[in-house]
Amino acid sequence: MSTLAPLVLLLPLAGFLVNALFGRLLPRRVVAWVGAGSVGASFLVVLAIFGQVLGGQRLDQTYWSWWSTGDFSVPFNLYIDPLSTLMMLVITGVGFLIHAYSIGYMADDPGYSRFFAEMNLFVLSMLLLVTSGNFVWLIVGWAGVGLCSYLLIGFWYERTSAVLAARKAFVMNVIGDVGMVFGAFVIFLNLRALDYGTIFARLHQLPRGGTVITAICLLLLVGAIAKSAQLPLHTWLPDAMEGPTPVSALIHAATMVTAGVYLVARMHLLYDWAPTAAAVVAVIGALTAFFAATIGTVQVDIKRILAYSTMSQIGYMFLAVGIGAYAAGMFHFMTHAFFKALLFLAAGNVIHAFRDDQDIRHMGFLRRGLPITFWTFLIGTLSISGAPLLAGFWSKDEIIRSALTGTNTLTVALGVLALITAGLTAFYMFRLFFTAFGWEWLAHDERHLHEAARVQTVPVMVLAVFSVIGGYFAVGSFLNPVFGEARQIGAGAQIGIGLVAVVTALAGFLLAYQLYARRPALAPAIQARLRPVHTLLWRKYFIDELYDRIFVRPGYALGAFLSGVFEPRVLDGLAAGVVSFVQLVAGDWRTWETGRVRRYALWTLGGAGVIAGYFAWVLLVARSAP
Amino acid sequence: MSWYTLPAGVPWLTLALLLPLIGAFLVLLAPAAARGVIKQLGILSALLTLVLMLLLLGGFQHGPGGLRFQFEEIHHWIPSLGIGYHLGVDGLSLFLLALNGLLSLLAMLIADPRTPRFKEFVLLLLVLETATTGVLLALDLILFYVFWEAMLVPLYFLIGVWGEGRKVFAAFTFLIYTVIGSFAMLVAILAVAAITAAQTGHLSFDWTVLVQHPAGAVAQGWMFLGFALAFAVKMPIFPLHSWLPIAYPATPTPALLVFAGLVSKLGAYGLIRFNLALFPAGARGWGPILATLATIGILYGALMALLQVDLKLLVAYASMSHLGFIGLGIFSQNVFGVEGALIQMINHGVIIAGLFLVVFMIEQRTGTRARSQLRGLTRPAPLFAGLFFVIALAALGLPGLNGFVGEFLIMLGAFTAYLPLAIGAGLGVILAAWYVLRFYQGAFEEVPVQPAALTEMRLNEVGALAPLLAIIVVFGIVPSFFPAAVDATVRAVLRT
Repeated sequence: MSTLAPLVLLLPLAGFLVNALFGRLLPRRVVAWVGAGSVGASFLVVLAIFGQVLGGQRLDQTYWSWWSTGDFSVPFNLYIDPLSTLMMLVITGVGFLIHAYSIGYMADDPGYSRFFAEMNLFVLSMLLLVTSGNFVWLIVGWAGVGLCSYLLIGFWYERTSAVLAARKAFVMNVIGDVGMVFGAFVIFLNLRALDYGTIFARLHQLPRGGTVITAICLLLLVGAIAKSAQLPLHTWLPDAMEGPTPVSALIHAATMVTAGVYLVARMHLLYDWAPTAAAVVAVIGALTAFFAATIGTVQVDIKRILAYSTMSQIGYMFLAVGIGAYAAGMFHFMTHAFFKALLFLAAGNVIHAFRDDQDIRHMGFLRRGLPITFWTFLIGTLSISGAPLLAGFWSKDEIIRSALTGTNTLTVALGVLALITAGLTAFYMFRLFFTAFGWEWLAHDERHLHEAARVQTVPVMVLAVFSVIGGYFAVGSFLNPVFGEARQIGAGAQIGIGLVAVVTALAGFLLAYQLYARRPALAPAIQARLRPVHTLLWRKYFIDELYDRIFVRPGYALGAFLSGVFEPRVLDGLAAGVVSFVQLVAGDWRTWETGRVRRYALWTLGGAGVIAGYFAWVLLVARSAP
Repeated sequence: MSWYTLPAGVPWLTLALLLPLIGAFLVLLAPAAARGVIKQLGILSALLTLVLMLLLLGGFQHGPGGLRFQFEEIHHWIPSLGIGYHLGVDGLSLFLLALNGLLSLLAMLIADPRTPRFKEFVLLLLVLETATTGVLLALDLILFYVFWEAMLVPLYFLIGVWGEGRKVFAAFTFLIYTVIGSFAMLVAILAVAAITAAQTGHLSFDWTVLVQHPAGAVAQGWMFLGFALAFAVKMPIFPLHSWLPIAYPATPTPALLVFAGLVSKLGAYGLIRFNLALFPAGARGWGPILATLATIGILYGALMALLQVDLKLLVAYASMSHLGFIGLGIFSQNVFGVEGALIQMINHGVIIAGLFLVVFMIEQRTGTRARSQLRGLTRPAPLFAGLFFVIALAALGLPGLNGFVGEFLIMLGAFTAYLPLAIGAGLGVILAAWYVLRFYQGAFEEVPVQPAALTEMRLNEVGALAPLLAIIVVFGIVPSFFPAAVDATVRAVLRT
């Protein structure tokens, strides 16, 4: 395994280098093969590793020393266990499907090779993030995915909106990076190590629930919520939809935005040791799940609805890892990767069919024109809404169940919120489905919509299969060696809670059906009556406006004050004072160019001579003294 | 441990000082009209100097050894006053020496032979290289002072004669600031020698002698201040920076590479070599104040950079912000902070030289360096955009590139020493992402305003950036050779 693990990273690295350096010279076919092929090959290597991990093998191998002074030594080591293997499987597996889809989706784009180079760099960084065995290289991967996210959000760099969205995403992610770096500092200063193995071994030197461990977990959480678009660092994700749709599917749905969940799960020993911090994780998760779902109910841009849905689903995962149901959180990560990638890719086909119009109110009649996309999107919608026996049902149910059967009131309360959110999820997803895909599917279609090419529909169909069967993968028992046995819950409670969840989702579905399929006139009327609520949700709780007022504008204002007032008036005034003092001492300097510099230099030398003489005299006196 | 052993008995360091001077002498003999020959001579001498410095780098013995200097040369100069010709290399100066060679060569490479009075221009650049090398090698305080002041002469003329805009005013402002600082240092040099002489009975300006006889705490405080003033002006540390926005934009770019890339770091070098090593008690007293000023400088420089329209000024303020990090690391006074500062000195030299080169190349092509007039340069020049973007990422400290290594260690050092300042520095990292992206995106993204004014990068320009880019990538991924070389010296200086 110690040779296979680096190979997983080297393949996308090679793909990146080839396409980044020579992509403009290569034929498109080669670019596509290199781009998608490197990820596919990497997936095959991960499968081999998966087999070895199933056989009980683990890896924590150091390949080189990154820095070493005294007891501060940071290796480059890879850490392979079931958790990182699951992440690698999804990153390379779903990643390969999305790369393949991109061959068709990006076919007409002039930045073809740049796209694949940046996607490969992303896969490399993401793999580094999940396989690194120490904090420094975790941070390198962490920043790397942030960079690729920036590059790909701003892929169409001539669009002002994309440029601004990319910058926003980058800066907000740097806020998280700084939090993580500080978390790593506190870890190092208290445990004198930055590699996971040593950290976990020394962890119990710290008092349980003490300030130090809580501070560590909260600082790491800052990084996690920035990357995973959780409250209050979430505002960049909806804007990130400026990127091409495969990017939204891979980076802003399936993989990168779940890095925060991975981080908490990877550091689960730390969060177990800091109950307060873990509770904060759970609260942020449940609140974000609910908050994003409410916004999702009124938006009209198909990708933005899916973005809010992503935030909401990651909220579920945060809730899970916050209440100690780590395996459930990772299970939902996997099923979400399937159905959300599916939804985005299918949405991409729809957007292409409507010539880049993303407004769901302009869409409809999709069953005839795009049958594959129609049915696969429906499967995805059912899966995310928690329709019984589909993948999303099993994983979401496990989270809600773990919360509702929790031992303290807070956990149960968050479970109730998660349950309500499940209803909201079914509502906004079917609102999207009925509006965009057309409830009037029996009506006559006058437009000529065309299904996407095979290279785009096959990956979607594969993802649809996994969105159905993904719930039957024994993720929990695969992860048992990492997290330990999950808490057992009685069969009665299991079935009961499952039923309640299904009924809640059904209620959401029926409401959407009534409002957007059966009686479309009703929705605007209700919207008019609830105008203030609608405005609040439509404007996303005014959080962008708030941040603009309290951070961005004061930042510029301070800069303007410093460069407009402070520097010219105060500092340069001071400088002018010094200069005029020199003038006063040395006479008129306005004609200094004509050679008075020499006199100035003489003055310096003379002064130095006087002082030197003084010291020589002191010295002589000192010497002559007995 | 070293890669090879250089033959003993050869005055390597004197050779390093002489090579550029010999080049300057040959340039002097060349007819002023033979501009091509002059440029070749300049490149050749800078190249040979760089090769020699790289030879020293490889022949440097790593591992524990404390304050042991290597390639040392000691000769009498004015024995009656205890002044000697003492040169040596240790972990503090080793990599800066190589940076000096690299930047001087780059300056020669981009120097335009059509420059008026080109002969004198090249000559002064070569003299400047000898002076900066001398600053790094001198272990006698008087010798150091001579080189320190000698640096000023070529710089002064390079700005005043070949500069742009208010060049004379800029040169004069820089001169006054520097001379005031230098004067304070001269007083402190004399004082420290006198006080040590009173202890030992022998007058000596030798650093290796002085470092073993620290003065009383109060005297140390004053002498610390004298040295700090000279070095803080050169870096510059807030609020002594107001010469910088005047002088940097006025300096011709070849000279600016050495000025911003190296000379500013010599201030930081001096702070470690003299302020920390000779005056430990003074450093304990003044450390927190200077660390605070450095942190203010980080944020001040970053906020100013955010607002600048002139790209050269923007990079100048970014440089000030980065030097704030270096100052913060130094005055954290622990191994992390100082080693972080040392590696960041190299990295910053590389990055800032790269940024100024990019601004230079933009201005050469488009005739402007106002951000407001530049837009959408990626479409006509994608390679240019890509290479610049890598440098920009290093400048904002992206993990995986060289800028991260130093920043990480500096912040770890600051976190250990002064928690609130570390948080301020963290804010500086966020602001850096903001102003760097505004710079890059503002000039290179969105739709071009007029038909593409930018032409793609030429091969020789890629060649000039290539060594910088190589360092940016390699130092970020495998920086471990660095602590191996400097750790022993840093620990000795910090007395840990």
